[in-house]
Amino acid sequence: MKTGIIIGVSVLTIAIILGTIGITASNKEIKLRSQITAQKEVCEAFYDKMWKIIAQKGQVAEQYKGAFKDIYPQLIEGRYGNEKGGTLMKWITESNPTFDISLYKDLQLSIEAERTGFFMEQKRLTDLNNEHRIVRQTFPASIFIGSREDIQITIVSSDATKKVMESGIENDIDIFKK
Amino acid sequence: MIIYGALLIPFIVAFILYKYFSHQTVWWELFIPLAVTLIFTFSMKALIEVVQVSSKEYWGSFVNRIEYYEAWNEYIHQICTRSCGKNCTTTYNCSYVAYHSPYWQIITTTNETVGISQNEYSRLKTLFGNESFVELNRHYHTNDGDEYISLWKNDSATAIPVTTVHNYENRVKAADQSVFHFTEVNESDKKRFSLKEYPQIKDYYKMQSVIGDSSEEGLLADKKFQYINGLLGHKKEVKIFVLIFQNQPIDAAFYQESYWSGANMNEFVICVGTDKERNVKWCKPISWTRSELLKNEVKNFVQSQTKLNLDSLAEFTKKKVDSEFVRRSFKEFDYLTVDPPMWSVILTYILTLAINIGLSVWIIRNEFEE
Repeated sequence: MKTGIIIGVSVLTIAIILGTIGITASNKEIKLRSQITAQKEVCEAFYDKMWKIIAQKGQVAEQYKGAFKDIYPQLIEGRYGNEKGGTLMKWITESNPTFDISLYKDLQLSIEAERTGFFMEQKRLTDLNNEHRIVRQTFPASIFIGSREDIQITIVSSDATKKVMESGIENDIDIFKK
Repeated sequence: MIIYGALLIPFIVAFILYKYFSHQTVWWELFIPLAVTLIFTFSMKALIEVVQVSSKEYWGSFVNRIEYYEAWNEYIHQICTRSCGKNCTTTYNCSYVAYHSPYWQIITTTNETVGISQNEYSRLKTLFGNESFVELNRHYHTNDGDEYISLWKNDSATAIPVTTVHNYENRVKAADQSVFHFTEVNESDKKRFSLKEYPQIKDYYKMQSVIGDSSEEGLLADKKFQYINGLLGHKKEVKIFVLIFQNQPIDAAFYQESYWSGANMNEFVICVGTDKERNVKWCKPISWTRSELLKNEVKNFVQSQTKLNLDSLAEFTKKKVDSEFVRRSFKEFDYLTVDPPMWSVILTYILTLAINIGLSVWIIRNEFEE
């Protein structure tokens, strides 16, 4: 038998199969990396979206935008209280002392919707990152793209949540105290 | 990816043929098992994935027209050939009369066709009350079949909601590594929380919209929601369900969400918890829609009711869904990799092995020899 031909065709076949796997995996990794970058921008846009809602419905002046970032993580976590008190009400009345309390319900509904929307977008960002890690680390794609860099994503949460996640203890049970 | 391990089998087979059956094997025959296995494995992977990600969603519309096609027959003239020995064929007349059965169908406002029974046709014909004859000018043999149609007058009194089924790709359901994937609900949780089964299409095109409430109000509300589904089904690409849970904690809604895998991409499911006196205890809308405000508004509306009032919920939902619902495209989950289940991987390996053994036997026994 023509041993040379057999070896040659076998090597070529293996090379084609491996090449296909490598190219497919590489393309998928690049696509995911791009999607993660885009999704990060989507998440960042929520900050601005929520600020605009507060600025319009709470009649808060532009000059307070900088200070808004301090309460943003708490709003995102739903720790904003109600019309009788809490982070959001306190911040709005400080920024706009003439705020009409009767408008709070409507503002709260919009904030709640944005918060859930943001959570879904962060969830998608996490999912994309998870998929990216799986694609890079599973065999046989890991042979070709295993060494590519991990992508750093930021999940917005407050210091309180970070402490709870690190310690596993939640003592702050009275967070909605009036 | 483990499924592609089956591609190693033809290499092993080729080695065995080369080593132990070199006299019965021609060099190019060694690549037959490889080529067949390549095609087979990739086809299996593609087929399994299509089955895994295939999901059904339901669209609402109204009956726009009903049609009755009478039975008829036609003469099919044809000449056939038959063998009369070696290198001999004769022709003969094999013409026949083809009989076409009568059938009844509805055409929806979305131009879909659904077959119905004669009785259902009669019922709808009476309701519409404007049956007319259509001459089809067929080339019939002895029985000329024509058509009768009745048209919907576009009024709500005679509006008949229709539900039709459509396939779509749902990778979330199949990708268990995704954070959007819902865990399976076991039988004991299904019983514990009285979880609702997904309603089936009954009587050709009818589907329940209010589930878990057999009271008179519940039945009336079901009709109203079916109407809303017919009205908004095409316009907003939405399907609304209301699930009533009596004496259940809100956990039931979370389990229901998992049980229905977060619902289909066009659905808006309103889960409502009540006590025996129909006092509202909680509400949780389930939907993939990006309109979170809609979910919150419906939730607040239901929770603001003391006694559950499905009629006002129907009105409110109709208005809000019409203005705010945006169907989510599952194309955005295309990034998810779907791994085939272990049983299908094992099946692929077994079938690949069987194919390779069969081909090897053929290679050894055939007339091609080195």
